[in-house]
Amino acid sequence: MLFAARKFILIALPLSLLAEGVSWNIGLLSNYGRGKQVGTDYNYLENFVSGSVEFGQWYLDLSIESSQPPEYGYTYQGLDRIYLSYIGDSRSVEFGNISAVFGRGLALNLDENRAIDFDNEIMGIRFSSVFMKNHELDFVAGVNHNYRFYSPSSELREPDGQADYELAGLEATLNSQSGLWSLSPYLLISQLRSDYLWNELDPSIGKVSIDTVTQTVNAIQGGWGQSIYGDSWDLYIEYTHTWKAFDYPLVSQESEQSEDGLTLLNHSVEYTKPGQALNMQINWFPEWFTAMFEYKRYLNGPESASQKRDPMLLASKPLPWQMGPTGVREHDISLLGNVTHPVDYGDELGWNFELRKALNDQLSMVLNAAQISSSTAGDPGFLPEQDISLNPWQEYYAEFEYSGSVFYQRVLLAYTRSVLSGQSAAEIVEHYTLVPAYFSWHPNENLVFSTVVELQSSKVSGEVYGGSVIEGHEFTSGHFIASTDYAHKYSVSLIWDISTDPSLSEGSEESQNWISAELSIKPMDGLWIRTSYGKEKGGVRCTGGVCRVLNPFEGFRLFMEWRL
Amino acid sequence: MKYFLLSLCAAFIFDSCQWAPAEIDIDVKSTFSRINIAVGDTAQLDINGFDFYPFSGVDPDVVEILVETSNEGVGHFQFIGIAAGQLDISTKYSPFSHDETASYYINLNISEGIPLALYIGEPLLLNLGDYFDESLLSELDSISLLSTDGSEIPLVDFEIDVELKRITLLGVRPGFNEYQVVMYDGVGIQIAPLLLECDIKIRNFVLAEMFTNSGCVNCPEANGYLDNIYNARSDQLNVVRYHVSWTDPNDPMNLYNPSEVTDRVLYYNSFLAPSFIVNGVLISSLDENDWVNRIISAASSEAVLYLSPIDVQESNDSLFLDFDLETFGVELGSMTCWSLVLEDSIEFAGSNGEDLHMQVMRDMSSSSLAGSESAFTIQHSLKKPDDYGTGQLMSLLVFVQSDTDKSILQSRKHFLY
Repeated sequence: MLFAARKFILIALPLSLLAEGVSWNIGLLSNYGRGKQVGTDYNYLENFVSGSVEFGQWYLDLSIESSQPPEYGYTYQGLDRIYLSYIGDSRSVEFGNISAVFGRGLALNLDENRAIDFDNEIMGIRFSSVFMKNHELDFVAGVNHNYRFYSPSSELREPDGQADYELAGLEATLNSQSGLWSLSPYLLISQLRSDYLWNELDPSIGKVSIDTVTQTVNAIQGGWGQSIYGDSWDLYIEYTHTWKAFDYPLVSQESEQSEDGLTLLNHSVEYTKPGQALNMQINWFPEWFTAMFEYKRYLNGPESASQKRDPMLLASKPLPWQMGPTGVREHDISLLGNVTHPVDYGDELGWNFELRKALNDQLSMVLNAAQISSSTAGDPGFLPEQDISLNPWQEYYAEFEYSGSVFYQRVLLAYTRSVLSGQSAAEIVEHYTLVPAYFSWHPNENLVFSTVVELQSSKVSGEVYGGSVIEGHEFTSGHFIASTDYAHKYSVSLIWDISTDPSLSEGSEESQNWISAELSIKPMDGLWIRTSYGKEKGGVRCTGGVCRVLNPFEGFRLFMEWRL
Repeated sequence: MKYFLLSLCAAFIFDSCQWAPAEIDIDVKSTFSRINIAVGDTAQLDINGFDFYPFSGVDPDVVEILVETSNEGVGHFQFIGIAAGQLDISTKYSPFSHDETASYYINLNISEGIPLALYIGEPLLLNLGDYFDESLLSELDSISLLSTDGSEIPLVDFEIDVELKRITLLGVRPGFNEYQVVMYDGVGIQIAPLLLECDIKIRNFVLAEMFTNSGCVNCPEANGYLDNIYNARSDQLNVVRYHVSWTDPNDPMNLYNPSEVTDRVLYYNSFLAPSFIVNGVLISSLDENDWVNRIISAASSEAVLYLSPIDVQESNDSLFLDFDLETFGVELGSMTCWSLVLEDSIEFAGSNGEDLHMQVMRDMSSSSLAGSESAFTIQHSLKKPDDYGTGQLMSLLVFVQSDTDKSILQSRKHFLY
């Protein structure tokens, strides 16, 4: 009986698949590098074999990884991701590696980015269903037992730590009959476990021992997102409240040694910690321009100075999946991208305003301004302040773009000011960035010549709180690219970076140069090979508000993607 | 109405369920103390607090504990040695308010003889008058010290001064031994026996290394923490600060000796300022309490390597160091011995607001120590700083670092002037 059933399945399943009309693809992605970083060997080899099959309303995606080691993270061989979904008319169900966003991510934003070894996705299930005709329910649940995290300033290849968590959440999206508004309340419950350095007085040896214990954090997150649509405007507002509770408390531990003996004191014991986050965006699009104003107030985990500087202490920080909109313009300009702001979802206030105007059919203009700061401890306000003790950051940006049939050109100017606040003084860095040429010329259908010229002048100074400004130093940077592309199949680029930044200096030379060449070919459909050789300056690579510092690299890189 | 009832039920369930994890109960204060007394002697202990529980782990055949708790928030305890033995006893109490708990742990050693803690190279003066009546000692004519285990290699050197009725003990090797002090009067009659229980150790000095810069914004905070800790614990801590070239590349204390600072940065693979290292372990926190905890923890480890006092000779431009290193037969693998010259109280207004810089590394030199020998004589030559002798405080620091795991095995400081 069992044998007969198995035979039936083995015959019926492929037949039904064929009957449904199966489409599939398979691909290989390889990333190889051999070189040096800060004088030490920096080699990596990543391989991902992936395949997907679509049959009717079912979709299967599978990826296997062999990284020895990867560019970031640990050496790994095995299953990278698996995903199976069924999409029906009014219901869908997904299994495997689940990415999901509730609202705009203030409470839940599950995503993966291999380029910075970031993956907070869960292995689990997601079920979505339409109810009462135009409303929707979205349920997710799953686990991540290999969440790797890095400190914001980390420049290391391997993570600062690992954690694991389980979470489950439900979001309802209620759409009005008139189409003028929608409301999305949601609720999430989760448990996160991470390493915690815990001091304990051990009377058997008469010492304070520092142990790594596992701290458990249970969290409940509740919130809602609201959209309202007008004729020439729309508004989105989202609020999330988080309740966190711990088994090992957040505590300040202090040892004292006196003639009487050794004493361990536990101060400021906290078994619970609340958090909240607010994000709002207004778009106004009358006929002659579009304007966007975004406001954020992220207070998911304001921390003490010592907690903030402890990358291992996850309990006091925002939950790993709390990543709302950054409220900062994302730059494709290399020198501006390097001075961008990593978002602190635990404690950050800010606004971002952008105005776009089409001057004529070919010419357009973008103006952008953004200000950010942390909140005042114990009394968080609503607007960012440019007080130098609050890690303020601001940027003003103007861009003009010409897009003709033969030429394309962008010119932009930006001013960025970032402040790193210490206990008694702050380091202030100001950057003036000019891009006089972001130019491409299409002399015919097949040929494209491009050039990019980025110039940046920077000034570093110090300021003592309530005291004087202390002159620091100035430096300039340049980023230049010249490239040619033929038939979208073959392209060659020459990249030159130059900087007089003393922190990047490797020798006695006043200026430092990084020159590399890149060759990219697409010899046939589905195959893309890109290779580069030379010195690369490094910089900052961000996804959303999560950033990774890249050290300068000197060597050879090869990237290949082959998809059938 | 049904949605309202559903919401009400959900709120009730949410409110009533135990969603928080079980809390780990902690004492707001825990204390460990050692009490060493001889049989028949007493020791007093006062503990600030209320609601004391009786001590647990007490053996009435070994110790008797008399308790007198006052109403002023202080517990008075008296321990009377009954017989030789070792006990781990503890009590619970409320240290500051009645709803908080604390623990007090005592390692109680009651010995037949006088318990003495000796450190190698550090003399300990024993006045016999502290243990005998003056009337007994008035007849004293001669004193001898007899090792009870009869070992050939002595753990302790001693000098006897019959006239002043005292013995100076000097630990020479780590270990434990009992010594019988035998005293005679003028006609050869033994006055009274005295048993010394000597526990000889190597004093352990922790080494704290700081990578700092006169422009880095968090460095004043980090240096301030280290200053506080050093001021409170200079009897168990040595400090050196390496000035790196970032954030401010014009930091003059980096320009003194940039190449050896860079070597040290690469050795620890630490490219952040401030970076704090305790006994070769990089500490990622910037928290004074955490640093104190780590230094106390490191200091409580038993040292296995002894560094002798440093003999220094000077020439016009150099300092010549000569000192001994002894592992007493313990195999420690390959090691490197470092010597440094440090300058204190350098005045320079950094862009981060710091204007006084302490324990700045000016020059360093090293020797590799390999092989199976357990005793080495180290000779190093260091460049004399150009402002040597002009008033800035200068000192020498030597330390020994394991090549295997970068742990610091011992350090010693020597003030030049």
